[in-house]
Amino acid sequence: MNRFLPWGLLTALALGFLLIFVGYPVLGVLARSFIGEGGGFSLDGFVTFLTKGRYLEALMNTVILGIVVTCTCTVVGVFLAFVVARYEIPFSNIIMLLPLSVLIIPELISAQSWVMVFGNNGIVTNLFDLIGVRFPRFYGWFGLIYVMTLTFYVHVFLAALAALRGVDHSLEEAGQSLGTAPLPTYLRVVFPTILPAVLSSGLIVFTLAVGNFAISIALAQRVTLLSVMTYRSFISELGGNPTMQSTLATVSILLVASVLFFQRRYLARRNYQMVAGRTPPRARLRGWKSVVVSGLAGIIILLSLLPALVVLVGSFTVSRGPVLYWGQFTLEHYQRIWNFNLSVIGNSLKFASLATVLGVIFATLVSYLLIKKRNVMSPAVDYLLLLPLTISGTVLGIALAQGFNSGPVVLTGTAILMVLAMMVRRLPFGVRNASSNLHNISNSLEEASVSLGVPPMRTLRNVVLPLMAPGIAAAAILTWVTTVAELSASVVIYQAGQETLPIQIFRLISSDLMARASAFGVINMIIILVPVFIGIKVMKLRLFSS
Amino acid sequence: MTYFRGISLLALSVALSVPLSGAAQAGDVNLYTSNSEDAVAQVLDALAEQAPDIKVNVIGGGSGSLLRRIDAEKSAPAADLFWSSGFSTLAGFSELFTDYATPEADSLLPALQAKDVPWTGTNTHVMVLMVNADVLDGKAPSTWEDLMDPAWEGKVTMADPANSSSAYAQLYGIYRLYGEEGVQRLADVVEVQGSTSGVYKAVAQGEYPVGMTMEYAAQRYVAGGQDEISLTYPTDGTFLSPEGMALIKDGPNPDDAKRVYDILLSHGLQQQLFELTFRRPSRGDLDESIAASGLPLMKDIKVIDVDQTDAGDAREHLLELWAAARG
Repeated sequence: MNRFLPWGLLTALALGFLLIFVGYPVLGVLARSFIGEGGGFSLDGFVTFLTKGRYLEALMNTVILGIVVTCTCTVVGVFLAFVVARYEIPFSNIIMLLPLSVLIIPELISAQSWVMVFGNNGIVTNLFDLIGVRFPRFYGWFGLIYVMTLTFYVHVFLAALAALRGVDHSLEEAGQSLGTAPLPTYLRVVFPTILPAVLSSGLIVFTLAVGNFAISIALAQRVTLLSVMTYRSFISELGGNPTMQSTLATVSILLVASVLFFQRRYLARRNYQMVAGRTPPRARLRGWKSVVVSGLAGIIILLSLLPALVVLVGSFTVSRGPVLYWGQFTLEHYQRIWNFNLSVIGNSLKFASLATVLGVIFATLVSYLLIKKRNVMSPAVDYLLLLPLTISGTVLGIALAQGFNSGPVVLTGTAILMVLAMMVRRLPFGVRNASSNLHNISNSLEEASVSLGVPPMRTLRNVVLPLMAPGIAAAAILTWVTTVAELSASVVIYQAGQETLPIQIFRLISSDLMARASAFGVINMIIILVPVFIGIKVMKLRLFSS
Repeated sequence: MTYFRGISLLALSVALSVPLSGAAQAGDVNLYTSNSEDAVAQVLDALAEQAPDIKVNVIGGGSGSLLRRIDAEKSAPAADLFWSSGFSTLAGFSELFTDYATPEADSLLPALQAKDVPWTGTNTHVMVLMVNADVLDGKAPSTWEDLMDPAWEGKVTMADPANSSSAYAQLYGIYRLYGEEGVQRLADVVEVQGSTSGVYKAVAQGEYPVGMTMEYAAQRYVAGGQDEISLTYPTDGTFLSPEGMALIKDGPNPDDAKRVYDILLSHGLQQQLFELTFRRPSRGDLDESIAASGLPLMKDIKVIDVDQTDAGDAREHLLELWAAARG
């Protein structure tokens, strides 16, 4: 039998898809940043970047923001993970809902609801005013760092929690029996072992903070940031300059790629193999320590969930134009959606379900090919799959829109491009989820089936796929969650009539119509939550194990 | 076999073309609009009453993205009518439109009749200073020139003229009034927001005491009951930024589109739209409603005449000047 068929062919197809829809557009962006107005090679874009306007300042601010947010997220995430892993605190069940809170509340909504709490007209600000204290200015660094920390720390929390649970307790006991006090033991033994996991999640936080669009645009009025500049260069009412768009996109790609590179080098020299050991028992805290620890953990949890509550109340609050009348309730905002905007909900459902179905099929196939049927093309597929991680949604949107607006395949302006952008953005995560239990499926099962005369494709369908099912289901749900909430790529490529829920929310928030935006936000959260709920309760999936 | 395939191809193409041609049946008008959905709902209600035989299909979106879509569709136009965008923006797409001499034109304000171009004014923005009394120390500015005082540094905000057409209208007006020196002095004082909406949001939230914005945007907060917000019409003269609609060249249903065009300019609908959105109507006979809303009448505002074509031509030069002044 031909060794190339069917697996080599499928790998080639996957590689072709990635080259066309990931490699080509991204390379195109990089290349266009070296093309001047005349069409020839030029460094004008970079000269402008380095000498004119506020581009350099934006780059500096972005780097500072990324570093600070990564640090704050690490502190909060590791603290909370430590508390949950080591102590019995009253509401540890609620803590396990935390990752959900971040997934179901779109960033845009969370930023705006914090403005409603801490902004100049916010609830808390006004309370402070009543007692005569001036609350610090929320727009700018304070607000950015605060909201990003509360939105992104969950990534560190999950990674640190998994790592802490894997630490062999006997290591600690050994340290302490050799006479080291508990605190130095933690610092010298436990923390180095969870460091690789924390650093990896820290990198995710850094890329998220640097590429973030929704929170930045809502709060960075006084801080120039690269992500906001990139978006504006593309969306300018009066037509932008393609060289400058590509230059900005290239700079942000290089920024994330270089951080990724250093992180990989650092981690390569530090590798701990933990022999599965005993998990340490969870201690019960007493007295003031218990109050302080569970109090701090409780505040973090409360703050993480507060935006959802603000949005829920806001969606039922009477508003006249942009002005909200808290305490007076109405169903008007939902009625309007019912009367005018069902198509927006339809768009969201249509695009996200298409992106999810296509993404999951692709991820399942590719993870199988990469793990079970490796060939010469596999490393290329590996690398291309990393690429979406290094580019922000805005840059991906720009890359796709610029890459397919002329030539043999014109997709710019079509719904296909919306679906592709949503799908491509989530591919690396989808592949990771789908392959999570593939490593544990023994090759001998397949070989047995094939040697009994079942063709390879049918073996895949009847033997391997059922075993992969939980991973595939998790990939499907997480892809769904993130595509329904996708804003930063779709907002640069959508056309009239293709508005999704997050785009509509973004537009309403831009016109300062918060109550109406909140109603869309609630619907968005419901659409996201239903499959997650079904996955956890009915299918008993462990969504956050990795 | 080939015969059979031919039939099935024919059947397929008929099946595929149904939804496309269905949108353009007699009585259907495809309206591309950048207006808010409540304004659109108002229009649909009025049309249902005055022209019940017309079915309007609405495609909503930002004016830039709609105009680009009309441009992309120009080989087989799907749109009949575009409502609405600034005159200077429309000028960049004028080859997409076709002339229509509406009988309502005589009732419009002279500046909005737009007789020698293929569009008609529907409403006009008036540039104002939006003031938040809560965060204002001392006296509010009453002229553009007041704002150029270094004392206002960091307390006044406007949108980026390179990204926002209304901010460009403000900058061009100030350039006409005070020349390059005025532009330089403004640049030294003002803080720039990335987008048009950033300005009125920031002032409403108390981030800045004064913002340069459009009348309707600031009036929404006043009408909503946010008492600390007020509007100032600079007494050294303010600027208009008229908006218009246009019939699409070779649109599928021009006859009915023209009826919609006239109704959009009618007294009744313009009044309703004004009361809903506070966008100053293009008609000259709605002073009663304007007075009732609390806004000043057009004749009581000092307006500096700005030629929109000149403003467009000066754009590149002025933006360069602005960038240099900002440093």
